[in-house]
Amino acid sequence: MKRSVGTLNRTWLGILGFLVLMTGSIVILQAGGMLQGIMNTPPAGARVATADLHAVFAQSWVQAALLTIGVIVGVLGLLWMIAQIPRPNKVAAYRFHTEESGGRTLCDPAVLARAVEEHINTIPGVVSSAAKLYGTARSPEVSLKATLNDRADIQAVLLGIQSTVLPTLGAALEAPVTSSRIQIDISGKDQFGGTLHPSTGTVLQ
Amino acid sequence: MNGRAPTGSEARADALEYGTRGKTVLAEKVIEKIASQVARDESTSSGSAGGFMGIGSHADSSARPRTSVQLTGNIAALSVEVGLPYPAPLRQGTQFLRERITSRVSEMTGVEVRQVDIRVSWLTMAKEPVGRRRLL
Amino acid sequence: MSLNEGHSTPLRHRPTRTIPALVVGLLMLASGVTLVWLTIWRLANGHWPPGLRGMRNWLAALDWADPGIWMIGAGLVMAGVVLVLCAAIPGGFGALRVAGADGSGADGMPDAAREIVMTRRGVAHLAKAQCLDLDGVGSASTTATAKHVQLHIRTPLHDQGDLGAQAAQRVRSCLESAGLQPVPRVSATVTSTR
Repeated sequence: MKRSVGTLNRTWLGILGFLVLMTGSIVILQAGGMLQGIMNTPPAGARVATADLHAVFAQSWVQAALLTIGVIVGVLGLLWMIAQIPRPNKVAAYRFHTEESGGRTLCDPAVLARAVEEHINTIPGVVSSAAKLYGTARSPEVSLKATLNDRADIQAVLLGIQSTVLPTLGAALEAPVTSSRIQIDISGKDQFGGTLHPSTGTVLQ
Repeated sequence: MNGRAPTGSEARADALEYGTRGKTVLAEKVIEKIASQVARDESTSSGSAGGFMGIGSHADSSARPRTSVQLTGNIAALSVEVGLPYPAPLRQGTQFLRERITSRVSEMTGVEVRQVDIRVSWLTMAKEPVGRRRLL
Repeated sequence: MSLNEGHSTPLRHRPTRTIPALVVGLLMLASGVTLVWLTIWRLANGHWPPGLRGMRNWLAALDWADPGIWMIGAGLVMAGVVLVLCAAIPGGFGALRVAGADGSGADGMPDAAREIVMTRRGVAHLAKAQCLDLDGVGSASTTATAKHVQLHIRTPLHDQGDLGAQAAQRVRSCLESAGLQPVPRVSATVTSTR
């Protein structure tokens, strides 16, 4: 999404920039009298408006043209601004059923994402995490954001994610994760929650 | 039972007799409750508890999964919303659940279950196994 | 509909030029609305708004060598250059690439399908935490780009010695062990608070 908006912006900024630059250069060349030698334009001392402006703008086709140009320019500007609004990258529910299943089996990727977040949060050094799943149930793609404590062992956390969290997700989906994107952020906050240790006790006989 | 087939007049009499015994209506709610009970008791799935109008509810392993049924004559189509343990294989888990619901509901009610739609709405992290007690 | 609909998008990307696009879009919208409003006024009242009379008179009297024309030309050239630069300058990446952990191949995923990045803010925070752990550092602030980490250290020490070099070395080795690839250049400036 962001990439396509970036390309759109660069393209249109480039096109408009070039047009504006060319227009400005032509105006300067004409004002300096340099264009007259090349393109046989009026001399620098000549009037800009050679016709009666009142008469020109009184014509109905000129008014219609101005109205059309105004609408086109305004709509293009509005559409360009609307294109900047980030849109959510929607993912359809994962489907686990087949023809022979005897019913549909659906799971929203957000449900799996919450489980993945919960799993990541158990890794030492992880303060918080956010996960998003894309793709399909047979070809899942994962995008993770993990916020780590500034004293965390980053490589150990990554190893934990890559060797435990992602394979666990793959086991739940019964399909390996085909693509993973991990964004690490660092925070001064401490890890919340700690670890639960089951009490085993001692039985005296 | 005297070993002979009933004659036509006897069969008509039997039908009349059955007709006078009344009729049994199986409410959809009955099938819903049986299905959700089977889902909770005979599989690893669970339901949700708390919240208001579905908002703020949380997974509860002792709660029955939410079930709805569409009964057409003697054929039922069920929809079940369940929570499952993570990371249990979802495909296998839901297929097992579907088979259990289908067979048990059919056994207990005589209704033919044609389809069971399952929506997995939450996953609960499996707890670490409790350590062994030390014997002295 | 986006090409990436339903698929994960890269985490490491260049600026999207949203602000220049919004500014130009807004200018286009304003110009369009003004033009439409003026034309509708003309159609409704049979004459152009009186406010335009001054502009018409100015235009009618204008010749090409007028200083106003030079200024308009120069303004257009400058605006054009700015827009072209906005489009042409690629801009820095918003995040730094991180190498995967040893043994990360356990997930069976090809390297091309794996992307790990650390945000610039994260790198700056990590560098700051490392500086603050160093004896002699009173306070520190850091800025990070994809290629450079700058440390600003304030110390109560009279003799700063090689505090800046020590801090830079410490941050560099921390970023190395974090797996940043390539490790950004680290430089430090030390200011005495006395």
